[in-house]
Amino acid sequence: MKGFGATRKLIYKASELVYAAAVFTSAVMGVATGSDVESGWLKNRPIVVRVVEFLQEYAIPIYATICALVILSYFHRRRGDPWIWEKLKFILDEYQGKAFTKDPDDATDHHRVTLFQHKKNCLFVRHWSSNSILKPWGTKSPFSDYLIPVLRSGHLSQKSSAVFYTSDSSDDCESVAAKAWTSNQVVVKENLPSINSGTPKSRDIITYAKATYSTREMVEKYIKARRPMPRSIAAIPIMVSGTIWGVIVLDSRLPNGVTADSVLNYDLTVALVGQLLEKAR
Amino acid sequence: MSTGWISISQKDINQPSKHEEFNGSKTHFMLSPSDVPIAYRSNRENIDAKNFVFHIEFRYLSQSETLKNIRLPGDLEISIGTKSKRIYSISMQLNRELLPEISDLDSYIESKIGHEPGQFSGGNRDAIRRVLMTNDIA
Repeated sequence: MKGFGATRKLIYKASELVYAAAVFTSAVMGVATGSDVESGWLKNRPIVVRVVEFLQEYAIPIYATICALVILSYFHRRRGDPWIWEKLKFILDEYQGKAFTKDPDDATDHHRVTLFQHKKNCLFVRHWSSNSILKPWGTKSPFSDYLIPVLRSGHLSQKSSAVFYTSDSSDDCESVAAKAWTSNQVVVKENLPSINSGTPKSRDIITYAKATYSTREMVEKYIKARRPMPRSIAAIPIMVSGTIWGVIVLDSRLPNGVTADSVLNYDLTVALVGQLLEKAR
Repeated sequence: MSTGWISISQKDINQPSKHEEFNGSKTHFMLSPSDVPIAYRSNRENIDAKNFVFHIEFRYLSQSETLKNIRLPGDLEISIGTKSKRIYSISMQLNRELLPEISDLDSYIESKIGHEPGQFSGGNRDAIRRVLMTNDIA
């Protein structure tokens, strides 16, 4: 999940200054390394001579440090502006507060809004079928494409490991989110069977797997890992700069917690997420 | 004939499909909100006494992409997004004398778009067809 704490914000701000500092330092280093300390102007300035000599002596490590800082700043900035991610989190929280049909006493993590990003050629993403750290792709091929969670509403269940395999073939996709991504359609599932309590019936597991475009093994693995399975789901594709960036998934433990109205009444919210993501990239 | 933007009701255009039911669980499919235009505007521009150009534009919730023009049979020129393949505008030159033969301009455009499935985004094509069917644009 994306972070946007005080440290991350500070590092992001500092990375803005790194480029300017790198240009300035490089210019100073260029002048210093090309200077002749015996020249007339420097001759009578011992402190400047000391500085120039220091810069000449340590030119290589200083240049290496500048390069390292610029590269680190570049990769840090690629993670996006934390201010934008903070606003996206706020939007997801607001969406979570209004879009579900729920009881006021329900825990917030019983009704969640999660933003998934579509990522291509993933090598280290762990598929549910994987039984070995050395083979995280499990039964899928290495460098497959996945929907990966990047942001979730609320403050609970933030450490999600739910990743969903996607493919060019809609038949091979796993999960409601992947179905929405592949078909570029909103998919709403209601009244999914209850498989959270006790020992679920085999028929319910099969129904759940078929209704959520998953396999029986996948659902059984989730149950075994004691992951609460939602009973209603909606997946909405998110378009950023004309291409499908990912999917917003609404899931609820109530059979009618998510309905078509959860999507229809919030199209502006979805559009706003897409527009902020344009700036976050 | 309208010149300003006219809002499109999302609820009219993006109704959930009739639900499919499997062992009690229900499934609805809907168009992606980004495929459904939020507003349209249209105008007619006279070229001469016989001919005029009919032009419709569509606006979307998010539309930051470059456009390209494609030509379809029947003097139809369509601007589509290079990446999303959404329809942004439709222009067509018409002859007033032939207009009675094309009595329903909305249906005429809708049929032309429907015959070119590969050129446009599938969801957007359906949304535009629904907009043309539910609004008296022409």
